[in-house]
Amino acid sequence: MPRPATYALLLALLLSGCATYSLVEPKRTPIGDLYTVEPQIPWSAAKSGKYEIWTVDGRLLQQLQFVNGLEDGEPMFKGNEQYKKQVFRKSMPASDIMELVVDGLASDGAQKLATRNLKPAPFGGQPGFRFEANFVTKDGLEYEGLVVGAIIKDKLYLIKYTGTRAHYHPKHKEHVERLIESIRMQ
Amino acid sequence: MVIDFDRVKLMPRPILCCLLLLSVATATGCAQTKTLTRSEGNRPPLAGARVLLMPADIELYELTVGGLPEPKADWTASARIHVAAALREELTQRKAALIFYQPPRSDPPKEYAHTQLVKLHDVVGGAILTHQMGMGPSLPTKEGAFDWSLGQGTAVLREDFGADYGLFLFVRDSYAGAGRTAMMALAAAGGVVVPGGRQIGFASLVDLKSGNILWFNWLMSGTGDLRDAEPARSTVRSLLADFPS
Amino acid sequence: MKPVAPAAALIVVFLACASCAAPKSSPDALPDIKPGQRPSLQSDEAGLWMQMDRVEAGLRTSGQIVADARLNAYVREVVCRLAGPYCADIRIYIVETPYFNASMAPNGTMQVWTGLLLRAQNEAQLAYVLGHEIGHFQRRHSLQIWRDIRSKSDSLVFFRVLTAAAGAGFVGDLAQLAALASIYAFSRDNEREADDVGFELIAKAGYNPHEAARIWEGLLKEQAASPKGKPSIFFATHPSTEERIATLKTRAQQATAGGQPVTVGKERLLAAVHPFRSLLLRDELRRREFAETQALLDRLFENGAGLGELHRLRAKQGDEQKAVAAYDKALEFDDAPVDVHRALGLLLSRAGDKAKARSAYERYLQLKPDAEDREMVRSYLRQLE
Repeated sequence: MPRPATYALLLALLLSGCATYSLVEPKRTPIGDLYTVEPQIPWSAAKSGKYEIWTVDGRLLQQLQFVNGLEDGEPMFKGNEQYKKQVFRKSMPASDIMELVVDGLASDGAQKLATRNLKPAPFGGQPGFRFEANFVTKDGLEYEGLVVGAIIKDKLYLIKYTGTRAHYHPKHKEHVERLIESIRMQ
Repeated sequence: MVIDFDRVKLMPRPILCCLLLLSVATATGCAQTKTLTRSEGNRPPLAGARVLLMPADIELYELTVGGLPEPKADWTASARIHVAAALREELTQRKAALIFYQPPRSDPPKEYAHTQLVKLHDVVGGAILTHQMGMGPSLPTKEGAFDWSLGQGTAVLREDFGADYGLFLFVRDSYAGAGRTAMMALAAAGGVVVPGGRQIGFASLVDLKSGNILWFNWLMSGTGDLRDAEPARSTVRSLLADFPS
Repeated sequence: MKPVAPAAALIVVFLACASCAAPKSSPDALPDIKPGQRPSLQSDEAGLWMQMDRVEAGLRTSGQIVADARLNAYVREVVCRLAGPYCADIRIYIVETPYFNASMAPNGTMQVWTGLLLRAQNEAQLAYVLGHEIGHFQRRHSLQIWRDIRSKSDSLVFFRVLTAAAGAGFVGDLAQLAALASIYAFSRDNEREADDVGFELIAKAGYNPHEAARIWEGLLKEQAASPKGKPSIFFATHPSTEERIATLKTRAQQATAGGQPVTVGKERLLAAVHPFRSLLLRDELRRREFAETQALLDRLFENGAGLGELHRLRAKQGDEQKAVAAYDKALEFDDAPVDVHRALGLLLSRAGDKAKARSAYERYLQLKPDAEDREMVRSYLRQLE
């Protein structure tokens, strides 16, 4: 989740002993319990419960975030008090899920958030949605985002790709689009 | 402020946090420099090149008796002059020319494009410090390689200044004042360790044609002095250890 | 060999001397800054300016800045009316954040937060807050506080070193608490002084001085609605809101005893802020502090702006019906945002009222044919068939 590298964030990294990243090879890979994808290139991956983050150059430069099977009433993201108020409901239409994602980005410090092209889109053959977003961090650096998702068996699945507008988002956008196309239910 | 507020309002720049953390984590005062360079391709020579010095982020502090860093405008002003002179000397020795960045105030969209690059460099520098210099977890996708870039957007700097390379500099330097020094002596007599001043910095060289970071160096030491010309020259030399020649 | 005996003696002295770690006096009273004055390069004040210059450079290109020329011109006009000859020394930055605050740095950087612009009911209230900040600048409070912290931490570190040498760690914490409390007390005195200056400035500029207390009363209502506890007064950097209201009310009664005409400027403020109202409301609602926001909305908007969104987001028992009712009411006014139709469509569709939902979606698409989510809204329409 792009945010300025605040003192608190890095301190948390240091204190928590840091996330460890493992290599994801460019072959068919399971994501959570529901589906598999075929990455085009190697990624570095860190997992924690229902969340997975992939990056090539570092999560503040670009990151691919997977949310796997959020349940009705679960907050969108773990973390501080603000996040606990942003709760997924299985009755949410795509417009509301988009709002939830955007509010999550805002809680992380994203400014001047704008969304584009919210439309229905297949998620591994299931009915889902996608949209694009752009924002600026508090430090003033521009970012781009692409989000796809679906509610399957009352649970929310999301794939969120964010990166700096200059260089890092475009660097792997095509790879991400291919990865999304490759989604296959297990 | 008009009311109480418990939110952090001033977000430190990304690099500053990394470096501050490193200073917290490390105890010794030995000068450590660690250089990483682009591993593929030939390191292009600097002879005949024009190097654009991006606005150097330098600040000097005096440590009060109580250990608070008091910002010193006069020391900082001197340091900026000494560092610029030292850099010019180092580059002249390598037969390169130093150009100073000037914001194009009359062209706001252009100025905006430049600042986006500087901000991007901040984040890339932070990623280098985090993932490649041991301040954080390593990334399997970056192991064994040094391939960081600002992207082709750096071409605007190349065009606007006729420069081949961009040089980014960041220094935070604190010096124990007289009171602090006396305190340290008093404390030592009582068997108590009280820390003195610290010098933290990084420098990076970017190829403005490709946007690739050719060379990145960070420095942390308990000695070094930027307030006077000669010690500043020696600090700059340390900071530019293994600089392309 | 540790010099234990002298250290122990000093500890006794410190413990006995109640004001050693918490000196009562402020540093020697500083004269006010003069218009156009710049500190000499060697001074501690110049060091603070240098730091704030760097912060300001970051602020200028921050993602949070609201650059709109008209809004900035309006705020600048109010500031300059109050600041007089100091106007040229002040640079204003409007920062998008839903919290009520403004701040002033020693180098003349003034931040005005959009949460303040949302909460001010009229220009006089805004002017009072800006006047308070100008007071900090004129009286050089940041420098005074820095010097205060510096001198107190100086004496504190001696104390801590001596106690560490003597092996008595726990006493250090008490001394630190006392020093902190004293620093906070000094800060509260500065805040009272800034309140005074703010009051003087608005009275002189012809604003109704009763409005100063009113903005605090509004804020108090908001805070009272919140389930959160109040911070400890002991470590508060500002006097209690109740104290400030009482002080300002008394002063206002004295100031208007003569019956001079005064302005409030309600229309001017509302006109300046109106183009941003949807944005400010959305930022406020995003905080998801619904009790506080409800108190704020009740105070500010007779036409119920923002209530529909509040009920929709809060989504508790009965909120869906309240949201629909609030949106319907909002549509009676010309300035209802187009998104109200889409929100109604989604709620009515969930409530089972297909016909009304359909016409809400169609109205949305009619009013905003190039909406960024038109494909999705068309799919909602298809689902209703």
